[in-house]
Amino acid sequence: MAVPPVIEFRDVHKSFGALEVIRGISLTIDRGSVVVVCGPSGSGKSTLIRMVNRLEAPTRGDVLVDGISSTHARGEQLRRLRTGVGFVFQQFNLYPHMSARQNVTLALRKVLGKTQAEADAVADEVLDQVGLADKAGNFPGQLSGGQQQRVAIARALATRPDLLLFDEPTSALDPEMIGEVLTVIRQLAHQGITLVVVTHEMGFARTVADRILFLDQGRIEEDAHPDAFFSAPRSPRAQQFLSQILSPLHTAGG
Amino acid sequence: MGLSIDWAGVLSGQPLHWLLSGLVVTLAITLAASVIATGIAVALTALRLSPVAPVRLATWAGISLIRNTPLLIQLLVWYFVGFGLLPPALKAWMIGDHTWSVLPGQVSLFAPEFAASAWGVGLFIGVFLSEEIQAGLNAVAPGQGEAAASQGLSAWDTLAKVLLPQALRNAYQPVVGQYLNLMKLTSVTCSIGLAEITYQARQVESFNSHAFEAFAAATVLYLAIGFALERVLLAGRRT
Amino acid sequence: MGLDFSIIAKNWDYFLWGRTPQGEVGGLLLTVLMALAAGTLSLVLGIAMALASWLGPRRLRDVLTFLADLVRGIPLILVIFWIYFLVPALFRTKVPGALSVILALAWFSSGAVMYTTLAGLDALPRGHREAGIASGLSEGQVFTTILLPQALRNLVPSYVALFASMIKDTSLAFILNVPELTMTANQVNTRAQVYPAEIFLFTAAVYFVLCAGLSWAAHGLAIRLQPG
Repeated sequence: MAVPPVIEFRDVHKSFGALEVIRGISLTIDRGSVVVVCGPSGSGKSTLIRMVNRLEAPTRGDVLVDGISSTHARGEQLRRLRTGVGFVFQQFNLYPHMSARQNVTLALRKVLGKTQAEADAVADEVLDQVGLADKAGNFPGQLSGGQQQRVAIARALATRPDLLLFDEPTSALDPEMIGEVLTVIRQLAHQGITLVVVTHEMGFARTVADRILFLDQGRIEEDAHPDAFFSAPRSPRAQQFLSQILSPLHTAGG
Repeated sequence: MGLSIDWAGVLSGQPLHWLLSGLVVTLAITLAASVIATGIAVALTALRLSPVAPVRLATWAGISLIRNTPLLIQLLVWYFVGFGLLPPALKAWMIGDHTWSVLPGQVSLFAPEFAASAWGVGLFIGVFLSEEIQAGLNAVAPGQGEAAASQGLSAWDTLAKVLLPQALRNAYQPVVGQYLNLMKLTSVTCSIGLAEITYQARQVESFNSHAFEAFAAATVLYLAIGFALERVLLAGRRT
Repeated sequence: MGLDFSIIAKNWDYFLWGRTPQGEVGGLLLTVLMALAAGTLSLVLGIAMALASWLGPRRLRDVLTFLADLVRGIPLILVIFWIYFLVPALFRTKVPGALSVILALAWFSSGAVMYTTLAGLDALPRGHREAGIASGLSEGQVFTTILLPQALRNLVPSYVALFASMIKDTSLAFILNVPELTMTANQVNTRAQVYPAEIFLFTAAVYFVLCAGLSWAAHGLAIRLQPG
């Protein structure tokens, strides 16, 4: 029996009232791939990945994670599915009344049923992985934006998910802190976890991704390897987008 | 000016006895009503989050009713009507002899005045408390609920571990304010005959016409209780 | 449980206006009139205090805040008694019960009006004052032509909500035997003796319709007055 793809979209549509945000997307994402989703504002990028762990539900169509529909999952099944999918938000969304370590251990204790000792051990390990072992006892209010986002990544990693989703992880950060977060994500990419990253950081996309999905007005306009996408984008909208994003950098070639 | 002040007339003998007895009753009713108000607030918070729509609707209707009618009318309803609605067994027990339930000044905890007052004021403030908690919940960033959901936390854990702690932090000042309000509103219970501070002050006034002294004493007592209560409740706040 | 509301039907006019035809205003009519009088007074007083706090020295705001908190720290019913018993002693004139209640309510609520008005002024975007100053207007002109009108408009829903509170607070006039709605209900109950449930539930319903209606109107106004 064939192993199902990590993520599968089957003719997914999404409307918010009269506004149609996703207009018929079908795609599969394979295990271990690193996918960057990009596109102009309002193209539906965030909505797309939020439908994977059902933070949004499709108006039509189905989204499957490891062959199980997240769209139709409920209760216990949905919660179990969600522990297998790590989600990192643009606004970090750390729990302000808990320390970094407590932020990481909450789900381990409450959802996976680990003891305090087991949970603390995992927490220290993942916080070390993102370079914040010494900040485990600090509260979010005492951490910089970049540090908070790294704790958020550690929190997502703690449940050992096969899949990590990033919704514009660096858009809310001051420029000097973007690098530290991208470094962490880059390290994860080399470990074989499936990553789907919505981002504007094209330099990062170029060097880390093995697939670029370009969204415009709710449809996938381009689906290509970064080399192909950056050097010879096929659709006019992608060309326009790239020229706007990349013009100050003046990349080589065409 | 026509105002001769005679403190001795109020701070000695029978008047003093009355005022002190009133103080004890005010403290007792404040405590009893606070316990009831807290319970009501917790229950209402849970009911408002019920997934069953008719439950939420009924809760909203009940809250709206309590908020839009005067406390005095509610006390009159509970006093005249409420006691009769209780099951007979409970009524018989309440009327029975319980020495532990009689406060200094011969006020029984189960006297209709006390019971109706405790329940009436407790229910009234309980509703306003739940409004403050709800406001506190609404002020919690939506991302918090999403983060909890994305980790697979159950609705209960999300509420108890993530949302409510933040809501209560947001609402701490208004919540303390409601308890202070409760203490002040116990004064309204004098109208259904509960012998608390205001009632006793009027008693003194009609006894020896020392209106100024009696009401001054009552004012000092309320201000003092309020000050002490605020200190105690705000001491729990983490800076 | 069998409720018999005929007692209400027989006395409906008494509930609504008491003995007004005989020259003594009462019932719901008196409730509304007292609330309007107290409301107007507390509005004038409260806004005046807010303006004094906003425009005057810091000291003044502190003093006014302290005084407002002091009055609000005393139960309203006690404030009513103070005025009823003390004003005659000080000024040698008898004060009718209804007037005591109106004055007490006005004084008590003026603090709330002051706080609400100050909050409304604080909530105005800083840029409005700066735009006015930049175009050459004086501080005073900026305040009276730009800030105050806007703040008052935004505050109308809050004032309506305070008025709804005032309607409820008039019920305390019962304690001085003032024949407003609650006292009227109690009178009917004392006479009839056997219909307390019907009488007080009906009375509650009247207050509810009035106050819930006002709150609903305040909410509707708040939405309609949103800028843009």
